[in-house]
Amino acid sequence: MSSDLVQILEGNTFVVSNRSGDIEASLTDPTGLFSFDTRFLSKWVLTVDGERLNPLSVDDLQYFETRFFLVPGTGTVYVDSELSVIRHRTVGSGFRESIRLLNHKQEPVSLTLRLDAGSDFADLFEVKDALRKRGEYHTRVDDGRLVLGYRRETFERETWISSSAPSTTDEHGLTCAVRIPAHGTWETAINVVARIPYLTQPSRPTGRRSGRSTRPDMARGLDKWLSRAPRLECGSSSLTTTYQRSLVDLAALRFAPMTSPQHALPAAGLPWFMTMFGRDSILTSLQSIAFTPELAATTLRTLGERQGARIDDFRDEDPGRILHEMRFGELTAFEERPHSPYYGCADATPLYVVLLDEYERWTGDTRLVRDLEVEARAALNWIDTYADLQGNGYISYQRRNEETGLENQCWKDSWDSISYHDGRLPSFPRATCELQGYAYDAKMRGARLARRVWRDEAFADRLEEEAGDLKRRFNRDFWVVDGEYFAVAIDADGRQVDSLTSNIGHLLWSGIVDKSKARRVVEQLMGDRLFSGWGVRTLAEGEGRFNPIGYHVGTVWPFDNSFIAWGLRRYGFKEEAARIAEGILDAAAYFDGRLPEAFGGYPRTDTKYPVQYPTACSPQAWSTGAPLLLLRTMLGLEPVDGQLVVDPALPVSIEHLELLDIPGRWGRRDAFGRGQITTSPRTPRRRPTHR
Amino acid sequence: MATRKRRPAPVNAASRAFFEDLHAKGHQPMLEKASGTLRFDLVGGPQVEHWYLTIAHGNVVVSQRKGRADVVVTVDGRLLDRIVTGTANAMAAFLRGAMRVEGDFALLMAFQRLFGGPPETCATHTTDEADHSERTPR
Repeated sequence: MSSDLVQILEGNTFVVSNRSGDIEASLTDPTGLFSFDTRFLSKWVLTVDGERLNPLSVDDLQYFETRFFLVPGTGTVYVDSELSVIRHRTVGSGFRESIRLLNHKQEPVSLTLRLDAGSDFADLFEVKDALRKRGEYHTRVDDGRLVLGYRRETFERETWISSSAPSTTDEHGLTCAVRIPAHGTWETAINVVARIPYLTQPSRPTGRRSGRSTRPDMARGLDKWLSRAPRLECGSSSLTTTYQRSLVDLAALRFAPMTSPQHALPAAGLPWFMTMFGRDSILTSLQSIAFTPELAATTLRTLGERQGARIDDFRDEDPGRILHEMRFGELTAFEERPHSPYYGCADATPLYVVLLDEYERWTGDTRLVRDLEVEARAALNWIDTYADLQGNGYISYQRRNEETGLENQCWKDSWDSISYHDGRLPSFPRATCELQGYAYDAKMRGARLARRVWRDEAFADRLEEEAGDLKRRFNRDFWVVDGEYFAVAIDADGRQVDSLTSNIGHLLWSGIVDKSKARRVVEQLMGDRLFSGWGVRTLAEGEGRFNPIGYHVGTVWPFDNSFIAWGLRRYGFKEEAARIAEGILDAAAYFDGRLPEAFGGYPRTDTKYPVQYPTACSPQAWSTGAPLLLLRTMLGLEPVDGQLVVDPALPVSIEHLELLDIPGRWGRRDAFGRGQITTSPRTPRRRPTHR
Repeated sequence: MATRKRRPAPVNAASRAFFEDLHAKGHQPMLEKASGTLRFDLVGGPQVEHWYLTIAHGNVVVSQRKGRADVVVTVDGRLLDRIVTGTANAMAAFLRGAMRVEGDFALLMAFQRLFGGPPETCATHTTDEADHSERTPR
């Protein structure tokens, strides 16, 4: 997101404008009012006596509201205006904008205020790919209200615009004749409703929505959310800032599915990914489970409701498969895009079972585990049937929708993310290593749930047996003997895709790594080919495609590192986990507590500060969740036999850390830790890794 | 399901066969958590056809007798014919306003899993789940 744009949002409704609050979008320009993946305003320009307004300052009050202080004229050097304009915008299911004019003269003034409005009703996919519309536009003035509309067959979207102060409305906007006394003020409230007659209120499809376009309780809701989360006390002010930032951003990223509007799950990222993504929603729920376990419950229910039930090549759907991405716009509605939902994702299905077990271990909510037994069994079945594309006992992926489906169906989903040491790209199907780890973990955790909750001993035994077999085969087939690490994938011919990647850290998290190999894997992760000083790079220095600012081929991803740290703790490498936590949290301080999706993989000693990867998506859910999971790993929080175990291992840079009122099956518990681990300055030894 | 190859199938035929098949099968493991009554109003023909599907503990009872419903789905019979046979997608139809839903949306979400997949892909993929040779690279 370019820094001269302002964005606010609520759920999947968001407004992106310039710093005056105006919107003037071309088809490919990402500004406007968006809701349910459709642009409802592409033009929104405020003028006074025909003159544009100039920003003096912009206050980002909350993620859902902004205030613009403006003066007439476009002069950039010197401003001495006798009129001020304050636009205060709050987003809801549309937005509400209060416009206040302040006359600084000693005499009354008469002015003409004008709001020009228009909409292209573009689908988000059209904004990205510059596609043309097939339907018809209409505009009408209805009882003083301006209605902009778009229709294609039964598909309908409308924008309703009205003003509280008297105005004249034409098909291109509203005009108010304003008279303000000396040193007086004038005010109007403009209401903009993004209206989908049959979608936004599925319980009453023909009913009209209320006139208000914002929820009055949003600010209160945020306060309540913050007060329910555990309290952090520590000696580091930057860590406190990061923690607060993460909680607020996580609140902003909440997304209420249509089927249960009172519950929320994390969407993937702001603003373009405010929808449910299987992988992102699950991983963020895992990261935040010690803080906000209710997100996990909604994620599990919502993704379960939409679990794949048939074989559909266009959507890459199979029975039991957990969805990749859901969209609500025109192209999806006319089956020109497969996102209704799209299922091309190979990791969300095993991770679904992992989350279900982790959720039960924290909350003791066995009812949900019973409710989702059919879904969890279908997910476990998918691993061994539909996902085993090569019949070799491993999860592989290859898209069946070759036009609009996804090529790489693992978290590193860019085109060149999976490569051999020499830089060549493998053919499909591909069995990436972390998928096998997730499958192992899903089977082990599924066995625990089968035994404890579903009371199916035979199923539990079978799953454990399969997991044991998978682990044996995996440690043989994926282990690169001369390099001593796990290959990133097995290709279509059964050969190892032999580059050294951060994926091996996820293997520790899932527990699939043989104890005898763990130390070597940790040395690789912490060696200077992978560890930059801030965190573990996606691809190791020295690999053919390595690029410190390549999306999945050399950058450092905070989310990736948070799971690696969890994996290090799982195998008892506390000190290394603390080093990663410290590096990522240090980096967060350079971004005011808001970690980007990824930053450059340059050595920390070279750049001194983390170099942000240019991206349009911030905050991103799993980057927001990373500090939370790192806090958990530093404190060594684990639910064991219904109790919360605390086993702190903190870097000395964090003198002390207290996390109070951690929710779980134990009620609320506190955790304390002192910094005792010296993490720097220790130069990692460079070890010859292979060849 | 009956096969009518020569003559074009009458409107609602596939939908009717789908409902009757549900009634005959009775139990649906996928619906064990769901409970309530769905009403499908098939429009677009000479008169509106009503179908009531009552779900309790995974058992489905289908009837055309009037009663109360937790969710009402209004859809053109020809479109529902395509949805139940997998040539059209229910969620997409809902998003474009071609399938209107009033009431308990979650009940419909649970139920829609019973709609079929596209026939051409079913034919190439589902003959034998254990036979993986079909899913090797094409």
